Amino acid sequence: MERIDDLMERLKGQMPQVPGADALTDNIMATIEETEDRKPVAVPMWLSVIRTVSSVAAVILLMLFVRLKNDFAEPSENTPVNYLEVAGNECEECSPAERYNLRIEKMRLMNRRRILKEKYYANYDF
Amino acid sequence: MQQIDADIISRCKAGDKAAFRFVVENCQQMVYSLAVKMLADTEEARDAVQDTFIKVWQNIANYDECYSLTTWIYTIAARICLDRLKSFSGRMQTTDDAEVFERITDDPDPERRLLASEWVSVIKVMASELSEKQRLVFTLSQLEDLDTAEIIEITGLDADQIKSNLYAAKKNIRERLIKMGYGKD
Repeated sequence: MERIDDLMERLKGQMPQVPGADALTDNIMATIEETEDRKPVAVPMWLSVIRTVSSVAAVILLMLFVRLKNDFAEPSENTPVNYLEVAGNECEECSPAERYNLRIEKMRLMNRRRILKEKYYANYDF
Repeated sequence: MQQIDADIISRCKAGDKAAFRFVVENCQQMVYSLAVKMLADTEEARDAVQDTFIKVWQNIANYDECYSLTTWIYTIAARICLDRLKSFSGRMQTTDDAEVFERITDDPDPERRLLASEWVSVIKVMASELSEKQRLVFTLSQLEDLDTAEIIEITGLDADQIKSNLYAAKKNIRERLIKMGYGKD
């Protein structure tokens, strides 16, 4: 073990010479110069503002487009018709008498649903 | 470790590249020494030195003058070396390395300074099986001959962790060298 201990003592604090020290220093300083030259160019304020405003406008237009598409979408043949709603919508162009009849019809339909539900639950008494 | 004048440091902080060049010239050897002993590769060590000083320049404005500049540079260098160790597994010891090691241990001139290439062989023979932390602590303590306070500052480990890593590193190295036949005198 003496050989190992002697070796450790010899090695302690020894620093190897840097091969090509001057060239390494020049390289380091040149890299620092290059890094500084490549710094990003400041963007003018007016350009940033225009970019932000146009991005926001684009998002708003897209949302409006989607909303309008949904509002004006026509029901397909397979879409189930909600008679209560249809009855209500027709009311705007109806005469008062017609509106009254439609209201009665609506109430009758609602009652019918209620009766059917009660029958269903009566039949399946849990 | 050598100290750098406060005036040079202020000029570096102000962006004076000539002052920074002075710092590079004076601290380069110390950083290279650490890098060679950690990485056991002269080319990787040169790259690590370059990365270290670039990082030092980029962060010089944040340097706190309460601490020693050379210790701060050492800390950056140690972290860069640890990152490089993680990303490359290093080269395995070769027969030439064992021969160089044998020659160095039998050298009749104990004062002879080792070349960088000889250091590479020594580290590959001794320290290739150490973990990253063990290698760092062993290098700073046994090879760079730093005191515990400086090692604590550089590594961020506490005194007990340093002691246990150093003990494990020495044990590992001794067992390895005994297996290679260096323990029999």
